[in-house]
Amino acid sequence: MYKYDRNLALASYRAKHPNQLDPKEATLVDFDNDLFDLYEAEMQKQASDWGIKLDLFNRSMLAFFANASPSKTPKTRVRHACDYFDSVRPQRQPSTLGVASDDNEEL
Amino acid sequence: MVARVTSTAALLAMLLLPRPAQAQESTVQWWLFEGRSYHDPLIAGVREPHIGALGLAWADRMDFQVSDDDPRRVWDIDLGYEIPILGRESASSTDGSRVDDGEWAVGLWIPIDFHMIEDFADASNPIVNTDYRFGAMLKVQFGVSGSSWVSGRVSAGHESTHLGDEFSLAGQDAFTDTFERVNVSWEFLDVALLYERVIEASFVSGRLGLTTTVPFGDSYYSVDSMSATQSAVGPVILSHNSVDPYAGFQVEWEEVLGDSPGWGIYASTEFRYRSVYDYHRASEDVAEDRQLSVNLIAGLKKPTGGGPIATASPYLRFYHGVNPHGQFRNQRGFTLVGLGLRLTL
Repeated sequence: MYKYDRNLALASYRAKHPNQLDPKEATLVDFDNDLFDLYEAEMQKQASDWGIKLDLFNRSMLAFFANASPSKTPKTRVRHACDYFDSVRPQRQPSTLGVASDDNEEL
Repeated sequence: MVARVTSTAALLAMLLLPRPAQAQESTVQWWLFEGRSYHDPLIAGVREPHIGALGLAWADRMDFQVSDDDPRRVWDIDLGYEIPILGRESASSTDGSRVDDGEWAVGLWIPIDFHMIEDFADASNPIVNTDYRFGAMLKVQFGVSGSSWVSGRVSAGHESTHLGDEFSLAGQDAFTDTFERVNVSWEFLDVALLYERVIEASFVSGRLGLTTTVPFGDSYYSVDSMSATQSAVGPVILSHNSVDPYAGFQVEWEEVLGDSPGWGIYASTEFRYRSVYDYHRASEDVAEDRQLSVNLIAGLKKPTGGGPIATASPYLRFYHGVNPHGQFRNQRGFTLVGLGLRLTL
């Protein structure tokens, strides 16, 4: 069972494992769950400082951004993710990046 | 001996070969020629594969250098890399380099490295010595938690050391009664354990290991007629010691300086209880002295996260102990300090 938006979990997997073109569903779910274990607690600590609403879409985006960070520690990666999120979100919609999607529809 | 080799081969086969009954359902997968951070080289590892140039440096004078300058300007250049071959891991890792909590991985690398020291005091700025290493390396890693790992490394290879030609010619002319060329050339086995841990925004690690000659008990250098070992002093006696233990500690503090993503600071040190080669002992049965040798490196770097793209890092280095360069490992109390640039991975 996915804990983040499946589409964003797929994007994150694709970014880190560019040579795996036919991952099994179990592999993707495992990857998504590991993202959650690695970043969720830190996200819960830091997101409020940046005024980021922690709905499923935003948490998934933050996990995706964090995993793209070149840092070695989850704390710094999540800080990079929040910083980037804060910098690119539209000015009039302070808590989100765009259209939120709280479901996990299949592709 | 045969039984031990057979059992080791069976263990490797168990780890590396697919098990048909589980292959359809498990997340276990192979990788081929891709980088992984299962047991990265110690930054301060004196003869580990790195790419770096200690460009502005001073070192103690070594035997057969012509001028009396002491200390003297040198360059110390490292050029090496661990080439990933293939591996197997129990699941796709989240960051693509280290395994996740409870997962394991095993892989094979080919390390190749060159280490050169050049002198700027004598005429023609001669290269004093170059050490070459290459071999094969097996690494295993286990994720103790999402933020800590243990790993092991077994490496076997060959080290060859060579004096520079200009250095040798000038040394032979200037020191006709004492000049010697010793063929330090040996096969080695290196075994190490590493523990890594994330603590807040820092990454710390500690490792223990030992390096031994292969076959066990063999000499670090050869003296037979084909070895090119020559000495004006007298017979060169084969080495007695054959094992050097070592420890390494390293910490990286992320984003200490500047705006995010800022510069991190790292400090890395290697302690190695080195043998002091003694080419003219009374006999092979006489053990060489040892000296605790310390290499300390501290530098600045932008985060790279173990990925394939390297960034340059300015660093300071301090070394004191047995001279680590080829046949000059008979010199104790050797000091090298300098400023350089290295690639960080």
